Amino acid sequence: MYPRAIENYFAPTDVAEVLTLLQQHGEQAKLLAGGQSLMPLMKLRLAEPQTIIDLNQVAALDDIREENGRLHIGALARHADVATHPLILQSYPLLADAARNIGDPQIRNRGTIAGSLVHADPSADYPPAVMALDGQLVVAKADGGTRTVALDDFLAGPLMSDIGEDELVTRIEIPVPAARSGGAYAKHSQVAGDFAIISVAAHITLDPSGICQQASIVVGGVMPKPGRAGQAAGLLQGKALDAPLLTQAGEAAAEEVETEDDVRASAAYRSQLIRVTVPEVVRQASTRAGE
Amino acid sequence: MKRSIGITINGEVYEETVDQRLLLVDFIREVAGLTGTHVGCSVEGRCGACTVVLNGKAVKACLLLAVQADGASVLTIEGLARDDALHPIQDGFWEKHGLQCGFCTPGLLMALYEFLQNPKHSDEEIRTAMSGVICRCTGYVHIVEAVKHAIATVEALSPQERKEWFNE
Ligand SMILES: Cc1cc2nc3c(=O)[nH]c(=O)nc-3n(C[C@H](O)[C@H](O)[C@H](O)COP(=O)(O)OP(=O)(O)OC[C@H]3O[C@@H](n4cnc5c(N)ncnc54)[C@H](O)[C@@H]3O)c2cc1C
Ligand code: FES
Ligand code: FES
Repeated sequence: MYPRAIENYFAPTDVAEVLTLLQQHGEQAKLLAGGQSLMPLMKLRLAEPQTIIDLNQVAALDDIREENGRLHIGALARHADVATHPLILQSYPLLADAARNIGDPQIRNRGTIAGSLVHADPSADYPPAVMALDGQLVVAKADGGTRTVALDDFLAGPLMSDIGEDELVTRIEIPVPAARSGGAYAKHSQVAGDFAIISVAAHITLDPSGICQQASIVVGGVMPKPGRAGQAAGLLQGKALDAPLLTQAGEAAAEEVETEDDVRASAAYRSQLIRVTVPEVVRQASTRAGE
Repeated sequence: MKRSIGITINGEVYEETVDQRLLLVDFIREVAGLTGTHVGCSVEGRCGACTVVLNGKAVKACLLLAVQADGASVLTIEGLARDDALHPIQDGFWEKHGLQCGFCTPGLLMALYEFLQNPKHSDEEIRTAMSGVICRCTGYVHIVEAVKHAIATVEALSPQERKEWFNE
């Protein structure tokens, strides 16, 4: 299995050059980031780009920093960098949890956050984590414009996302969490390094007395894209997160998030995993929120 | 369609005009003739047999185009030993019987080469470091022992010796 012949290969060094190339080559072209999803697709000939625009030489596209109350993660930030970045470990631990859970060390050395979100595998690790943090994508357009889109809206379905042929994701933005916030992410897979059967991301904000002020819970590994467990999160709001309440939230999430059978697991098994994983992840998130 | 590139592999520059779709692993095997880097899966990049160190990072050479490595520096299994001396990671595998058929071994050693520059000690962390390479023979237990042996060797090295073993 080999990729189809590639007519043009470009390795631009800045964003403006990428956008010009996108404008020139449009639908014939594919952006190549980590290649950890695109290369397998090209070998399977499910993707047959005539033109490859390699992003790996573009400077300053892998920056991670806070600015104006938001975390900026450059499109090209590798999974390994997100998993070990001090700022992310400190303030956005669920992102580090998600990044650490992706594939294996070699995949994490190459794969990028924007590549993962654009690829939009419903069982991927980043999407639920970034959704739980209300993440947005900043997209540059070949005509010079930019737009910002919430990940919830950007993910359209299995391997489908709202990206145009003339567009480049330049960064991911996440609001800096309020004080006493914490998050966690956990995944169940068949073997180490595999995609999720079920994964759960939770982000919690507590008030000074330990009452839950705000909660979001997102479940990955379900079709057509990660699902928000809004009712489960609603149950937590305004309450102390004790064990019976967490069990209740697990029940509610298993009830509201629809699961399907596939090669990896049955729908019933998935629902059971949601039931038991939501309480664990929310507990870990609230422990971190209290730290 | 074709492009002239130069890739430094184990310190030697290989220049060739290649098809732009040529995979890095095939550049290493077919153009440079270094067949120690193996190919175990044709599509998905799961087995890790093709792992090499690219500019200091362990990567799967079947998931990269050769043109992407133009101007880069690659270390493969053939570049590990110095003269007659085995690299500490090779020595660990030798001492602790870390292989059987040996098919996975080159990829595994290159994945562990990066890990050993900054090694962690728990079984779990060692197993995570090798999780990108599938071994069909050993059941991994002896590999973990081999890595521990290598960690001890590396940590006993002088800073100068360490530099020599880990300078691609
Ligand atoms: C063996 C293996 C195991 C894996 N296991 C997991 C796992 O457990 N969990 C998980 O979540 N993922 C897993 N992955 C996928 C991995 O996370 C990929 O890194 C990710 O899906 C794609 O990121 P990439 O940078 O490699 O993107 P590429 O493969 O380079 O690109 C993917 C798509 O995104 C587009 N794209 C990339 N960057 C941009 C941009 N800046 N703007 C617009 N479009 C862009 C490309 O054109 C392409 O369509 C695995 C992959 C492999 C090979
Ligand atoms: S040959 Fe299997 S991962 Fe590259
Ligand atoms: S020793 Fe045979 S595959 Fe690992």
